[in-house]
Amino acid sequence: MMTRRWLWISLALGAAMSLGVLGFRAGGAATVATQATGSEAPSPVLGDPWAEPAESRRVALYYDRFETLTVEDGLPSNKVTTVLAEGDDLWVGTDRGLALRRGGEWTTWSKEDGLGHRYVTALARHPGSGDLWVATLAGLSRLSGGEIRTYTQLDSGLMNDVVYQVVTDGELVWAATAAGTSALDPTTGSWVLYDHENSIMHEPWCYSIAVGPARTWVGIWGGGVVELDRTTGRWREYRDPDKEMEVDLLRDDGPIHDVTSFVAWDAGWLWQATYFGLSRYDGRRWRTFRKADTGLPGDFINHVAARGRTAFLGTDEGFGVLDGEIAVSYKATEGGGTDVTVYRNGELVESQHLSSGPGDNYVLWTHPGENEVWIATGHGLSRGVAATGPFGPEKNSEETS
Amino acid sequence: MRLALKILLPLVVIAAAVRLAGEPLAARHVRQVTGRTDVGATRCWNCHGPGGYRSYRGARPHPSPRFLAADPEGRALFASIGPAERVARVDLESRTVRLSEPLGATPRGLAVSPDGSRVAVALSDTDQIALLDPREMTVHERVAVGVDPAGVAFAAGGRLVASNAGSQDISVVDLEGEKRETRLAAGREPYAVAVAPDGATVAVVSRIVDTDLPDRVPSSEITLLDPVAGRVIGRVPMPSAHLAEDAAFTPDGRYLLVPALRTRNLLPILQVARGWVVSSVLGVVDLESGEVALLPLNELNRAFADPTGVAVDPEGRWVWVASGGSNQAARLDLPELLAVADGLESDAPEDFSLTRSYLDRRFPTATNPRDVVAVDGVVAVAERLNDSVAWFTPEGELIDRLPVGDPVPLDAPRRGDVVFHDASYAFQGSFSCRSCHPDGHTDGLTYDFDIDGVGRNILLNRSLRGVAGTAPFKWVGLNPTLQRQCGPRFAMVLTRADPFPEQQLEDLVAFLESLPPPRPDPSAGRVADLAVGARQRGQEIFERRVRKDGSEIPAADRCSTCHSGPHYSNLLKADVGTGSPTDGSSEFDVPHLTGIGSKAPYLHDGRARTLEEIWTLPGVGDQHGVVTDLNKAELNDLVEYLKGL
Amino acid sequence: MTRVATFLAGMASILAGCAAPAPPAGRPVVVSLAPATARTSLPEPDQRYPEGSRIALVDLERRDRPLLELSQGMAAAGGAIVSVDGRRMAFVGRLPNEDRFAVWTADSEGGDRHRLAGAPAGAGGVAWLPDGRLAVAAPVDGPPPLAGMSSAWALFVVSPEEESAERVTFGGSELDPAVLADGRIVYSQWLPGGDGRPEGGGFALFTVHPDGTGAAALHGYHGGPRLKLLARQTRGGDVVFVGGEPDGPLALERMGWGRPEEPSTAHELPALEAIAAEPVGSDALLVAGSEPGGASGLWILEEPGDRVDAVLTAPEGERIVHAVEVTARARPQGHLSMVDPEAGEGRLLCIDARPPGLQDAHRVRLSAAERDGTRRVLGEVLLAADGSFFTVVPVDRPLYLDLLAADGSVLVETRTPVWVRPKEVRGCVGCHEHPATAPPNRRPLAVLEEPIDLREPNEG
Repeated sequence: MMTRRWLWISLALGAAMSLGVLGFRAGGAATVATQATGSEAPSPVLGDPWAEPAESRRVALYYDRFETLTVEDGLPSNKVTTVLAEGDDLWVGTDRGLALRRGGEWTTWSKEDGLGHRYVTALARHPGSGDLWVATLAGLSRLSGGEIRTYTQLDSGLMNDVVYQVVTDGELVWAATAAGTSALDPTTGSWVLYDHENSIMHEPWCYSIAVGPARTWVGIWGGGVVELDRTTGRWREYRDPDKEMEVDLLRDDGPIHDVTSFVAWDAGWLWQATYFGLSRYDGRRWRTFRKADTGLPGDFINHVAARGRTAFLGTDEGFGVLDGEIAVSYKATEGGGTDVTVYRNGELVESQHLSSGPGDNYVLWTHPGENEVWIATGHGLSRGVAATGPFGPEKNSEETS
Repeated sequence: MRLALKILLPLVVIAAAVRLAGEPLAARHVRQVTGRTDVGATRCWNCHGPGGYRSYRGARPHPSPRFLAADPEGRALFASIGPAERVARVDLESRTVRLSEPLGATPRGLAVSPDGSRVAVALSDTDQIALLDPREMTVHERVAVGVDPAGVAFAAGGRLVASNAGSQDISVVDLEGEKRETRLAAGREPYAVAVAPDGATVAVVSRIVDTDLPDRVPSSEITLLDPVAGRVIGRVPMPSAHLAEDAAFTPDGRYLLVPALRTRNLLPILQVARGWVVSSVLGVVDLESGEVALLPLNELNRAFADPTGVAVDPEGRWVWVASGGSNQAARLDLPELLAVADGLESDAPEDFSLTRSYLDRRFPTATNPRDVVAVDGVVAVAERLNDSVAWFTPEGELIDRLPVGDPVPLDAPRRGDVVFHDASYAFQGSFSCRSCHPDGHTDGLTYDFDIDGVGRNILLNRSLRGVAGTAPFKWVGLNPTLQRQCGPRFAMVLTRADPFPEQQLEDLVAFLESLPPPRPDPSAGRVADLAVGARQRGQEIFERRVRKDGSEIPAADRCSTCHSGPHYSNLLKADVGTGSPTDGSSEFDVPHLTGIGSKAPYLHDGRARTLEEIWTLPGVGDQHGVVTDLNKAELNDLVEYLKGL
Repeated sequence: MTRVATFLAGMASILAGCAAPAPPAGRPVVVSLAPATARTSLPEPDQRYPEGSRIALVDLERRDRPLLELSQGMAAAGGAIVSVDGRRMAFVGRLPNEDRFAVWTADSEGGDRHRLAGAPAGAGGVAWLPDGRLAVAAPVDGPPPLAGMSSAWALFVVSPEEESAERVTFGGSELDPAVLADGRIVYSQWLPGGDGRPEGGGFALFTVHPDGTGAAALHGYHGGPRLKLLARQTRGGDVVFVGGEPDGPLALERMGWGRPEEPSTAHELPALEAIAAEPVGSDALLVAGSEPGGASGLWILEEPGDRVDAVLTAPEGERIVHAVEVTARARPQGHLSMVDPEAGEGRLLCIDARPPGLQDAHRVRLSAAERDGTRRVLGEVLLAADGSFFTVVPVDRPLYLDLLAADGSVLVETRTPVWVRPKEVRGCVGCHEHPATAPPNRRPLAVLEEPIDLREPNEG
């Protein structure tokens, strides 16, 4: 009798596995290739235990009040492309230059001040030197001691002047450009360059970079995500197995799309933003998320920021937060308010209307902080204040892992 | 006798045949291999000499002090004796000198910790700071910093700050903690390190101007940092001023004083009078406002060549500045100096009539005074080319002078070193060779001489390091010897005074030939662990004979044809398409590439600010080596390879 | 062997005899003595050294010895100067049958006296260059600067070896050359009135290289006494000269190197009328003059304000008008000339012709003076956006530059000429820049183009 029960259980499990109900998969989730040896072994778990944050990162999912800064408050432009909040300093990239709000005073930098281009795409603070690296559409600039120095493709090892993102792994400065990826060691002044001719990349159009303790991921427009293990020099590539540009045929089969708009990594999870939804990879499994099945504000995702295992999304249809089973979307409405929806496992569980809202639903960047989130929109820089009211601190704390 | 003739005569005949036929045969070989038709005579050695680092026989090591520091109680001075690879402790009371143990490297800047328990010395060859016990003069610790440190200082929070002249950055090390090193970008060739009286601000002065387009007004950088936070808090440019080797804060910490040269490289050199070529200034940086005033140290018709060391008396009354090129020092009235500095525009040309407002007196020193320290009622001067340290009353009266080592007989390179640093060979003693060639290197500027046309043939100043064996000289390859290069025409065109007498000229040439090329940056090509193989790939590109599509590159167009031999130059002329409308000729002497990484900018008129720009500026094509089939990553490999030569 | 030794000894003695003797021991001084009745402050040799003037050697440490006359046989002589090595002297002198002065040289004891061949006739003042050539002031065609003078004057450089003379100054009247430690010649330049100078004009101190290049104002361009003559540089580096009005007494003035445009300071002599001064000792002055109403003599002054006794009193009926110590001195710097007499052109580069505050400066008009003193307009050159201009100009003649506005009106009229030597590229900072200001570091826009050729007048 016991044996027959176990037989039925194993049959049922086997069927369930083949239907993918339980979400397990044997044999790897995506096309995996390495540059040097071609081995097909799956990558180990990205989130090595030592890479977990020491303390849980407290981050809010619910924001019930928004304030927006515009040109009237001192911004050089209302089209805000990137934001970096460091304590009381607020660094803002726009399509008309870089701005810093410090002590209530604004300072701005533009091409006249030596910035590569007035269109700033990303900011990165190098922890060793304290220098601020500024990616622009015409070169990579470094702001140090109040002075700007710009590196271009003609006068340095920068791969291409159109720099979409800059990040630092604590030592090197990585730049994702329209023709490949460069990494600069600021202490030696030397560069290393990667494109489709000397790495696993299929396309050189590098739109985004994320770094972990040992690996670098590059999100490529039309090329999925590639991963470089910095300690071994080995590459891996992650592509949409559907190879379908318009439709995600199967959920959770790999990156949701090959056109990657952004990548982010934290606490062992890699996030991929695309114009057709969101993907997440933990080293073994991919998960995909779309508006229809998860409750994201939209599928056209420009930016994803990872904080712990919570993802903050900037889409063309508003800003959203995804944490485990919970997805909260914030859509600005006419008259300055916000429609908030809360989904759990794809089911709508709550909706609210707030009287204040982000400046715009076109969101290019988010910067989550402690009890606040900065949102770069097409109409100003908005700050969302973590809810203490109807959503309540209990709600914020019970949902946060 | 007959037997000897039988052996000797054939040998003589063979030798004569080789001598007569050798050069034409070699020329024929070069023409066949390279396709050039303009080679008339050459030597095998030019292209086929042994590679690697040649030995450059310098002067016998002299006990020459260059950098000084004083212990906080004013009882002793410490001097770096570069060639002897030691530090000397000069006891001011007993008038004795004690040498440290051998350091195994060339010591440069040094500093005494505030409690007097340690002396830090920058070791340029080993990229370290050595910490010495000031009593025993033994090394008890070595701290790794960046490349080729020049200056060092103790700052607040137990921080040690070192200026890394070779890696263009500053190391901040927490000596009392985990010895972590923070690296902060500086200007070009960061050199002098000065600490504010409270230790909370450190200034690093970079010696060479930041590389920029040839027609722009150049400036060198003063980097201000917070040593405890390990952060750059400001970057102050000194317009048209450079070659600063020392800096000092005023006692209230509000001002930084930086002696420097003001060079008018953008003006055609038509005369030397009135500071037309170069004049000396004292930069006064107001740290509250960030403004710089450049006050003249020249008086009209009385120069103050190559200002080097500066010291401020602790009461804030006087400033002493040494003139390395004219063997004197000056005492300046600090309150008057600051009053004049207030309201002076930073880029205002100097009014030499102002100098008398604050110049109290000048007093003579021995040869080539470099560093100056003021301590406890005494002004001490390192007299480098006199191998002595001297100390004076605040009014400039000599108290005593001590040699810091056993005397070494003068030889030609040492005598040439004296000539190189002596400004008396120029009109009104206005400048010396060093004024454009610090330590025999280059100041990175372009110049316009009138002899080849005003506004025409604007040429980049070249490094003299490693020039031995690279004749001919000048960008157009006009001068077959260094004697010709530095001869009467040089006096007519530049120094505007008498030419060097024959003995001094020979000594000067011996000195120049003793200078080794700049040491290649050992960290060049390193990008954490990622750029493995970059320099190897770069070398393959440099030496390649076929394009990526397999087609052959003609011999004359290969990098390794012209840039061959031990100096990476075949010592002939070539036209690589770099001539401009203002150049008389587009053929230039192939530059030698040893140490090229530190010789920015590039090409005869300095138009390429970086190595990349040699090929990325518009219009280059394949005229300067075949590069158009390379992609950006391959160009980067080539650049990384060149940086390591 | 004995024959060889004898021969060698003989050659040695001949050669030794040929060498000029070293300066004599003691403290030898050459004094110029003039008849006591003749008093004038005008600078021409006829006026300074009238008939009966003579030069004599005296040892200040043996004043009891008689003066050794060096100009015997001459009608007039004076103004001796000594070569750098102290072994030879030069002076101006006139033989009884001549009506013009010539340059004469002699050894340090007055022997081996001969006329300097190749020197222009009528020499007024002499200076010895470090390479053995002499700078000589001589009369040239042109109007005399001051009433009472007979001609215009210019400086020439004479080579004793080649027995040739080259004129090196062309500014109107240049006199009283002396050599500075930096190798330049300091001299008295006549300038017309204006720019703070008295109506009728006055002298200023100028410097020029021995080849006539780079002439520049040193002191007194904007005023001071009308006469500034006999400039000399002390061993300490200051420049002293005698100044005054043509009909008045002269006084010794000192110009420091610090502020040349400040008025020079009177040397605060104890009411001494100084006629001439020469450097002596480590930083003292040997001054020829007289106390008011008193005898003429020589004084050695260490510091301004010194009160000392005369070291020498003039003989009865004579005045000491000049004295110089016969000794070697530090060799001034030399100068290798780029001037090429075959070249028919020179160039003039101005960095910024716009005076401060004058915004509508548009162009510069260049004129040249003819030999008869008339001016001929050669042409105009537009100022570049930074105020610079660069022209090819005729050489060896006075050039005048006027600053014009766009409508042609004259903004600044230059009354003092400049000149350019063949193949010289003459640079100037600006028309009215402060002489103590260094130029700014920027590339003048005018050099980016070919220089405008103004050697011949433009048509139309």
